[in-house]
Amino acid sequence: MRVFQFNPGTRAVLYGLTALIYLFMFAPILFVIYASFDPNEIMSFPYKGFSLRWYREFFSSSMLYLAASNSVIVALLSSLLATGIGGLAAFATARLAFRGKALLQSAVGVPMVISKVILGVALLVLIVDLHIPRGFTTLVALHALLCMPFGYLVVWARLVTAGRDYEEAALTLGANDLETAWKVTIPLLGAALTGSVLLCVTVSFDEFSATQFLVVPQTQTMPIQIYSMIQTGVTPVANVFATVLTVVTITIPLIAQLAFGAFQRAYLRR
Amino acid sequence: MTTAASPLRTTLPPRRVGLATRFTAWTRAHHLGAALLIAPVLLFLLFMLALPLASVVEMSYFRRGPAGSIVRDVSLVNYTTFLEEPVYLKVLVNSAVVGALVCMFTVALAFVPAAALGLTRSRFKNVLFLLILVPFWTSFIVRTYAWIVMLGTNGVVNGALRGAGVIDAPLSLLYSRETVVLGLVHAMLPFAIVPIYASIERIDESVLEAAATLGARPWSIFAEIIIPISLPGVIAAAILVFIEAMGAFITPQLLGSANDMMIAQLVQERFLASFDWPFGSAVAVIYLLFTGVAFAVLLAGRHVIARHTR
Repeated sequence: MRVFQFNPGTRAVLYGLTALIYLFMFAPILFVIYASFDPNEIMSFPYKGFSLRWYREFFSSSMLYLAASNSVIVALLSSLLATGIGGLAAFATARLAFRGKALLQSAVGVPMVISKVILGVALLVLIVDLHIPRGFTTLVALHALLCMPFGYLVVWARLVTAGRDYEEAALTLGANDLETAWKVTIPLLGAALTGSVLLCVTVSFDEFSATQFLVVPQTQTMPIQIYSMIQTGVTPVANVFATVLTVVTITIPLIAQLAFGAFQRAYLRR
Repeated sequence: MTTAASPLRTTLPPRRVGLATRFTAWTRAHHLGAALLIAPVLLFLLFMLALPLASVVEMSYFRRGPAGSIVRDVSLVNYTTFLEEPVYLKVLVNSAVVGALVCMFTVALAFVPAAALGLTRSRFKNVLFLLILVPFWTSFIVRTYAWIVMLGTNGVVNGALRGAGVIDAPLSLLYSRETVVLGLVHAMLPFAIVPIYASIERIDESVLEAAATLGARPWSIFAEIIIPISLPGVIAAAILVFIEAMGAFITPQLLGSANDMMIAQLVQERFLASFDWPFGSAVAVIYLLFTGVAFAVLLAGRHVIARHTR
């Protein structure tokens, strides 16, 4: 088979436009990072000087650590819950035949297509009706709802591509369903389960629109805090917050992915 | 099963059967496997999605009392207010218009990098694709905030234009419907690039090669092969972007003007600022009906197009 290539002129236009669109995608955030090093109170482009003044101020605020630990707790718990619930449903739809399967598959995707504001408002109305207080439990449950479709999709995609040969071999050799699940299916899904938790963590870590209805001052998360900071416009500390959040949310999935890869290679070599 | 008559039973000691084996045999015999596996998700969707939405529908029939209290008299007054006041209808229309504009621009812009990535043989392809995924990991609020840094009075664009001597007084670039569309296009681009890229990636290169050998110009290769084949991906992206953009909250709230409110903002304002939960709930129900209809129409359109191109 011959390799298809456009003529050089077309390629230049295509790649040139692509470069411009990449620039459009990344320039704004790069300018925020650049602005975060400006020592002046009132920033004006082009930024002058380089200092870590606002970084010092940012890291000495105690609200930050409360919001950061809240974000981490809520993200971890809701991701595990979402992966568990979504994963079981994914196994059922990928491996078993039952009535109402198509309906279930659509229902699982519903939280993805409804505005997050509506989902948050709906849960707020329900818990107020039932006299349930707003706290960590309701926040974790809300985030699990928003993450669950992602958990479902990641695990489902892996189950469908993996095929069922290994599981059938285990069953033929006399393992029962639970042994098969524990010793074959779950190890087979290792990467997918990690990937699902990671994806859910990034979704939960970033969630604002629904969260705003269910937070109280003690449970406020990082997006809630950065939002209240930038409502009035550009502030130096907000630039630092944005920079730190960007660096953290990009490096965590990268590190986790690399660490998991290394772990898996070591495990397989053993 | 009756195994009592089996001769083996008398000659061999009974096999020790664990609890797990008995349990799974029982679930299999009663076809309970699927039920047990989907019970958590069903309960979860019931308590976290169905009941909350039902209580919003219930709330929408009530009325706001003094000081944000709720008068539990059933009526359709919130719905009639919404439909009679041009201010509220304008919010709905504005949401749909912004959704449509964002959808158009995003899909048009996303097609270019999707095609470049789908057709390139560069060894940087993986890195370039990974870069598309980076925004998924970046905070949505931060990405929106970045536009305030770019377009503000002392922002990057005004600073650069002033430095170049093009303008004397800063331009007012923020807080308009155009800014909201810009911010949403920027936010939605990766969501559109991925499905379009996936459908272009699948194109058999020998088809393109054949077209080129037979003398097709690059433009007609795009118009007559690449675009039709990638249509399913394009339409999937368009539906996704339209629905997301129409229900957006953060972008219009941070980059828009108060005159161009969108529907999620109206709901939020009624719940957190003016404490009119019944009216906010009615707006939420109207949004859900509107999105449901839009979704059905778009899916039907997809079916028609799919049949047409087959």
